[in-house]
Amino acid sequence: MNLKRCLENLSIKADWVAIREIREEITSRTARNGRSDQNGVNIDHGYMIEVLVDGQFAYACTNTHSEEAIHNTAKKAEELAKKASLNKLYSFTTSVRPKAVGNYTSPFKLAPSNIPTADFVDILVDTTNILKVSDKIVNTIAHAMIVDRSSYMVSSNGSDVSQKTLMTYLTLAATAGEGTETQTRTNGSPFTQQGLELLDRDVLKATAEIVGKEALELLKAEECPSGIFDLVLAPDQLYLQVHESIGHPLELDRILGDERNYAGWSFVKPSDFGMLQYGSSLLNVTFDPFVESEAASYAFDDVGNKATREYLIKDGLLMRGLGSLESQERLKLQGVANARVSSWNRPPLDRMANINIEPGNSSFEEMISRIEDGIYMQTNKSWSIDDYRNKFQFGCEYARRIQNGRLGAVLKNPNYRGISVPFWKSLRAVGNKDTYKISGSPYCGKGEPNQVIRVGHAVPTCCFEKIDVFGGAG
Amino acid sequence: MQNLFSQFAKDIFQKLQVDEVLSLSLSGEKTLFMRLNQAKIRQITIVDQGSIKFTFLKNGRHINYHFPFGSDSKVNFEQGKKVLEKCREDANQLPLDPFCPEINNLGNSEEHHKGFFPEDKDWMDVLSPMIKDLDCAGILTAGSVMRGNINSLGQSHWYESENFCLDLSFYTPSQKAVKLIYADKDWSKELFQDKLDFSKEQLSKLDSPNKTLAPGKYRTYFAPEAVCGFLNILSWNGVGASSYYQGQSAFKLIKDGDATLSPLFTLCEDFSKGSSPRFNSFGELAPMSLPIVEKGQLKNLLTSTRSAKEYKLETNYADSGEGLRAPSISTGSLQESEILKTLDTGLFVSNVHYLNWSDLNKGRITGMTRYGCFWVEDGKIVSPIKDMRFDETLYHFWGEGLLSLTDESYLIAETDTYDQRSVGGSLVPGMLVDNFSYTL
Repeated sequence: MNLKRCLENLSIKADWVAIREIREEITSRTARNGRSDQNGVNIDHGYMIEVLVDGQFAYACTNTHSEEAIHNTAKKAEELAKKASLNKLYSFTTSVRPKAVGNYTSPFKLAPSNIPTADFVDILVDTTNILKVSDKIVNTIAHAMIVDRSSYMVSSNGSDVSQKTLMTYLTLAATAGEGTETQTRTNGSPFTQQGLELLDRDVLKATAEIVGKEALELLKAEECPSGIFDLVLAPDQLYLQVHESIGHPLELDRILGDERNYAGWSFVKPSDFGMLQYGSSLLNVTFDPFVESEAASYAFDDVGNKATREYLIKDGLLMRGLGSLESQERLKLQGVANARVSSWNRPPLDRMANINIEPGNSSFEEMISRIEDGIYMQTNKSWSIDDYRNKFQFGCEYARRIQNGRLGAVLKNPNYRGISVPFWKSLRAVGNKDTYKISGSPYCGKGEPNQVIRVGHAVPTCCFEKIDVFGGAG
Repeated sequence: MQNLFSQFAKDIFQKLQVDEVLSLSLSGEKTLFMRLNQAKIRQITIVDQGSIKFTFLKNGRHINYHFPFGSDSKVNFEQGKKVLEKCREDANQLPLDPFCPEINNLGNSEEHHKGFFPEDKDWMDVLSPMIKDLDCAGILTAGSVMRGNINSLGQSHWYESENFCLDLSFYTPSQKAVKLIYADKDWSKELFQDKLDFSKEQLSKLDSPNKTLAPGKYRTYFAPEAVCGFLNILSWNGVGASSYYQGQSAFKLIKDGDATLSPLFTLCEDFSKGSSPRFNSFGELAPMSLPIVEKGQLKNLLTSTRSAKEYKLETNYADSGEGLRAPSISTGSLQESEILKTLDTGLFVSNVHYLNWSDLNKGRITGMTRYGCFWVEDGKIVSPIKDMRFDETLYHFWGEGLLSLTDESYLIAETDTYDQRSVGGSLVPGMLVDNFSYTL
């Protein structure tokens, strides 16, 4: 369908109108215990018509693929906007929908079509066999998800933006069991913009062997001790700490109260920008849409705002929030290009994209060598935080005791808890580039109606002092 | 949409080869979403969508394929034919699946739940005069939802419901909040006004300084909405058979006979209220009622046909995720008028937030208190509390720590709208628990 022609032929009275087409094809394959388990493909494809009438945006969408359906849907959006403008929260102008022309294509080496289904499944089945390093491994899983997404937007003020991304998500998991005890170790489920090069047999074999071995280690491991310890967090845990206790509280729509009824509010106030010492002076956090292969790299957000790299926190000081042009206008604060939609059937919200901690100077060895008694935790397992994004608790899969500057015994059921700003102020060392890793998640939930969006977080290993650590239930 | 779906099924089944079986599951909706902040419209959206899931079986292989299902029958059919070819290509390349689901003709069913509520354009005219003086945030969801299943062996199920859900919260000037959910098929201005009046009364109780409690163990009354929070997490590595057999279940202790729950605690799946369809995404019909825990003893794990084949169990027609679809916790003897008096001194928790397993093996759950929660002394509300983090095992709060359940239960509507509107809800009473652990 020619969307430009559709747009030109719309017979509605609106100050601005856009059509956003999104098509996604998600291929999901899982092997378990040496067998192919689940195989599926999910195609989602539809159109959102967004209109601005008398200062009010309204959205109407359809997944019927015809010009007539789009015309009828646009008419509904126009009527809805007109009526809703009588009770609008804020009167917007076209300034929050700038003209945008351009495109983006994510990097990949191997397209999904290059690997036949039989080979894809065979690689995953073989990997589950490698994960089973012992009879005590009671369950093994190799799961891959390939997301092929394309979006195209045209608008009445000349926007014409096309973006294509190929994303992959890979989980390897081994569960070890003996008696009443079971322990699961995974590869941390990396999620990045890449192609099926992630199914490299040599890399998968090496990873699966480590995952299986560490699951066994956990079965015999000591319980994580309870107490106040120096805490070193690996990137596959720290990324979620950033997500929950920096990313979400800095979303300007939360600060505006839009999200109060669902995910919650924020402890950050508008007056905190430029004033609040969010963390120690070692903390530097960026919104960076240009990190190659990171999950949420893009050229424009979903309303056509051109993406730029910005510091959110510089030397520990809060600089800028995660707010779209709409939120920037409402709060009169600076933001970023982050009006994002989960799909064609949802309106744009202020979302995280790539939110990263910039690397520091410490090598991993230096970091460990300076700790007298501490814990090194790897790979997120459990997460929870309050609706103001203050009181959090995280659990990890695998930990090591640190004593007298050296890594020691393996520990099971490691958990820690704290409060966001005091936690980030306790940041004592930031790892260098060698410790830096690109992580991400395909599952960030927010908004009413609910939306799941994909985010990237590239972070180094970091050390925090005097953290409340504890183990499993007694 | 029902006619479009039926015709599509007839047409696509004619394209099947003799050794192929196909089950079609449809999800559809026509929904108005009106998001509010400060009792004004922040965003307004109309969604008209449908999707179909193919479950395709051939030679002991199976593949799932989802694709959009719009209102143009020709486009739907062309897409369906393409997907059928893709399914064949994949099935020819997949290894034999020993646990391949079976598709059977288990009969037909049809449910239509007609609703009466304002038209899309009129909702704000109805709501605005009632909430305009309050600081209100939340969402109105209104319209029709459809679920259907037809398979090539002749089975056919259809479920359609027109309903609305007002999921709102109200705030004091100091930003303390109470929650109001009003979900039904038929709109009643009087009923909504009653709920609003109750919310206003609760708000007035919140408008005093917070009491900050030290971490520790407190006697606690959990209102039905909070109990529902604990119940929901059981669908995630709790009550499913595959979770247990794959070593990832919080029910391992009770299943292995190493723990029991309180004789006061009974949990079942109960489809008799009609709030969600009995058929799952394969079209299998669940029992009208299935006990999961009865007086503290485990009776059943939710078992899909696939898990039943793999672990040599009997299926109870759970869906593939083996989560709760129509859960109901039995009531007890605590009269609502006696809640505060029986609590005596402790916490009144109206809602919980962001729950997660903190030690799955031991059934330990962490989360936060949320909305109107109070400190109670001598049976009287003293003050609101600062939100607390808790960390407690289900073997305590539904085990030896469970003191009583209320004699009334409430249907807490499922409000999730990820990808599409959810259906169903949970029927739960309030509960009184001794020595509940708060940690931060």
